[in-house]
Amino acid sequence: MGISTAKSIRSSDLGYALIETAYAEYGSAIEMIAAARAATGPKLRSGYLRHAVDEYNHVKSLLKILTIEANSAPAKVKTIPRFTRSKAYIKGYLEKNALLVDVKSTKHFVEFVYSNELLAKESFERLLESLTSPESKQILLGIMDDELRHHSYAEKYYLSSYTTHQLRLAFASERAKNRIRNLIAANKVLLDRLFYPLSVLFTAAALFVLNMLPERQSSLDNHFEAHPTSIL
Amino acid sequence: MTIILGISAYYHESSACLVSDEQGILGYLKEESITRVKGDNSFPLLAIKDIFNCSRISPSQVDKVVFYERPLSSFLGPIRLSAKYFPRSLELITNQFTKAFQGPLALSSDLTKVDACLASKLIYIDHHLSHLYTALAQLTNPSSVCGVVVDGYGDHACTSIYAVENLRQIRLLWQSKLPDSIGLFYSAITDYLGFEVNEGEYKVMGLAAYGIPEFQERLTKLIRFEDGNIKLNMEYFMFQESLTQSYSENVKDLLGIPPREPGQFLSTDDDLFQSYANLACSAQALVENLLVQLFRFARDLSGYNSFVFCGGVAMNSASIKKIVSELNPISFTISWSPGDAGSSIGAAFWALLKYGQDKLELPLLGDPFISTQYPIPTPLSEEFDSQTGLRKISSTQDSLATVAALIAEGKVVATCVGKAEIGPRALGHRSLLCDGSSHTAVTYMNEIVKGRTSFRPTAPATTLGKALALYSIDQRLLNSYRVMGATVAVPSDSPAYTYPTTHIDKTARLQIVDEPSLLASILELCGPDVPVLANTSFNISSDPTVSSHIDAVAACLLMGIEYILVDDGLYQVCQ
Repeated sequence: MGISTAKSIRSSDLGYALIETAYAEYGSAIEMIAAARAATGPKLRSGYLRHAVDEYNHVKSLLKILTIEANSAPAKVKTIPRFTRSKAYIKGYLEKNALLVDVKSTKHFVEFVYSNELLAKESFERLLESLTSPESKQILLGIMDDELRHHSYAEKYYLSSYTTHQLRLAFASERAKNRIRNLIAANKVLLDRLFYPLSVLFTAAALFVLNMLPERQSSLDNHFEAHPTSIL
Repeated sequence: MTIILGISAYYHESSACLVSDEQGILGYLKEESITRVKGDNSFPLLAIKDIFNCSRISPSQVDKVVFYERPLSSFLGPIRLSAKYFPRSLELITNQFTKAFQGPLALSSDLTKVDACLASKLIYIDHHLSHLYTALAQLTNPSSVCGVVVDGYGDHACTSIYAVENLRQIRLLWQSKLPDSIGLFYSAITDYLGFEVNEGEYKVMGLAAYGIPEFQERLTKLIRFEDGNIKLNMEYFMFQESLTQSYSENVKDLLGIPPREPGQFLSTDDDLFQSYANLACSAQALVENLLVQLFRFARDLSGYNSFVFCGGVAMNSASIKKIVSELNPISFTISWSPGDAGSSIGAAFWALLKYGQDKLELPLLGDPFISTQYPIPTPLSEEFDSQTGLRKISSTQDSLATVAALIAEGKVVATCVGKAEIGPRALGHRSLLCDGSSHTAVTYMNEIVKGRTSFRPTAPATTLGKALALYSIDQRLLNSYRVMGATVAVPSDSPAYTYPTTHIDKTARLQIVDEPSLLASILELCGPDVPVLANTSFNISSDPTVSSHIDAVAACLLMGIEYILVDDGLYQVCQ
C-alpha cells in the first residue's frame, strides 16, 4: 500500500521511482504497526501486525530490486538515493503527529486500506514493465500478490460490517484523491520555480532584519537564574 | 505537588518527560518509540498524550511546560552563520526560512494541539543547561563539580564549561559558539565516510578500531584547540552553506581518498576499507586529543577535578578511557542519555528545582529504566498468539531458567520487559541476548539476525564481580559502565581477550549489570559457562529500539528471532 505510489512510477529515473515506492511501503508499515497497537480485537491486531511485517519486507525487497537493476540496467537507474526513513515525512508518506489509525474511524481506515492496496497493485503493474531483470520482476510479482491479499482481507472484513456500495464509493474517492496528489506533485517543480524569486526576495529582506537583532549576551553570575521566558 | 512537563524537539530525537516534586519521574517517552521512525524530531505530541494517559495526569494539573532551548536563539544561530556565506548559502537559508514555522518557533501552536492551557505555562532553559541537568539528575550529591557539555550545536553554543557549586548555583565559565564545534567536525567525517549524519557517528567509532591514525596530522588542519579556543577551518566544511553536504571539496585534496558512496554497505573486503578505517581512526584519535585538552582547560577554569560529561559527543564511549587516564579525576559521570532525547529530563528537573517545593528526593534518576510502559497488550492474548504464531513456553516464574538454558545452548533471546531504557543503549529490557563468549552465537546474532556489518562490535554485559576478573575496570567509571558509557581495555591474560564481544583493538563497551536485575538473574542462572552475555539493541536495522510488545513481535517475525521474553513469560515465535 502506498498513498502516492503512482506518481513515482512516471519518473524516467528507475532509481528514483523505486526509492519513492519504498518510502510509500515504509509509510504503510508504520501505519499498520500503529493500527496493530490500537486494535481492540486479537484477530484484527494480528491481521494488522502481519500486514505491517509484509510492508517492512516490501521495503527491503524494493531496495534489493534497486541494487539488482542498478547492476543490470545502469542506464535506467540514474541515481541511487539514500533511503532515509525520516524522509517519509518530508515526502508526505507519513504525517507528523497524525497516525491514520488515530485520525480515521475504523470504517474509514479499512476503506483506506482496501482502496490503497488495490491502487498500489495497479501502480506496481506499471513498475513491472520498467524492470529488466527476471529476478527483480519475480520479487515485484511477490509484492503484488501481497497487495492483492491485503486488499481482499480488508474487503472481507469490511463486508462483514458495512455495504459494498460504500466500499465502491470509498475506492472512487481514494482514486480521485490520488490523481489530485499526483497532479500537484507533477506541478510542484514548476510551482517551486515560479515562487523561487519571491522566496529569495523574502530571504534577503528577512536576513536584513535579523542582522539588526542583537546577539545574545550573558553576564549572569548564576545560570540557574537564567530568564525563563526569554526566547533569545 | 508541583508538576512539570519537559520537552525536547525539532532537531534530533524528540521526547517528553513529566516530573513532580513528590513522585519524581511520572513518565518519559521519545516520539520515535510511538511513530517507529528512527530519530523522529517532530513535536512529541503522541509521546505527551501517551504520558498523560499512562500517568493519569491531565494537562490542567501541569504547573510549567519547559522547552529544552530558546527557540529564537536556536533559529537565528545557523542563519547568522550561513549569512556570512551569502549568496552561496542562499538555498540553505531559504530552506531555513521556509521551514521556520515547522520548528521551535511553532512550539506554542504545537502545544495547543495537546491542550490549549499548556501554551500559557511555557518557559525556556538554555540548551546546554538542559543537558547538564540531565546528568546532574543522576547524582545523589550534585555539588562542587565541573560540567562539560559538548555537542554539535544547540541554542547558541557548541561547547560549554560550567562550575556547579550546587543544583541552584551554576556558573558558566566558557563557551564555544558556532561554527567551532567538535560535534560538527565528527559529523563531517561521518558524512565523508558515507554514513548518515546524526546517526552513523557510532559506526565511525566502531570502524576506528580497524585503522591506524594515518590522517590525524592532516585532519588537524580542520580543527584545533588553541589558546583556549576550539577553531574550525571553514575552508574544509560545507554545513554552513549546503543542505546536503557537511565537508568541502578541499577535504578530498587533503586526504587523497574519495568520499565513500552514501548509504552503501561497507564490508571489510571493500578495496578502500582500510583507508576508510584509517580515516575513522584518525578522526577518533583527534577528537580524543581535543577532549583531553578541553577537560584540562575545564579543570583549570573551574578548579574542580570531578566532572559530569554530557551532550551528543559524550556518546563517544571510546574516548572516555583516555580522558580519565590522562586527567585522573576524582569522579567522572557520563550522562545516561547525553543526546537531545535526554534533555527533556534535564529541562524538567531544572524547572522543578526552580518552581517546586523542596520535597524532591535525589537522585531524580535512580536508574536508566524510566520510559513509560504501554499497558496494552499485556499479556498477549491466546487468540492473538495463535493468529500470530506465538507459543508460550514458560510462565513468569520459570521463564528466566528457560532463557538461561537457551542462551547456554547458543540461542538468541529477545527481551521486551518492564520499562524501556532512556539512553542510546539497550541495557536488558529491550535487548537481544546470547552467550557473549560464543563466537558462533555472537556472529549469528550480529550478522544474521541484526544484519550488521562485521566491523561493528557487540557489547558484553556481566556482573561487577565477573567484570573485575575479566576487564581493566576503572572504579571512577562504575556508574558509566551501567549504561555502556565507557569502553574498557581487555588484558591479554584475560579469558575475555578472545571473546567475540571484545573489539579488534582489544577493548569492550562493557555493561556492568545492576544487582538485582533481569540480566543479573539470567547470568546467575547461566552459571560459569556463560561469563558474559552479548547484549545488543532489539530493533529492526535502522529502526528505533522496540517499545511496545507489538513492535517486539513484529521485529521477531522480521528478524527471524525464535524466542522472546515479555512481562508474562517466554514465547516461541513460529516463523
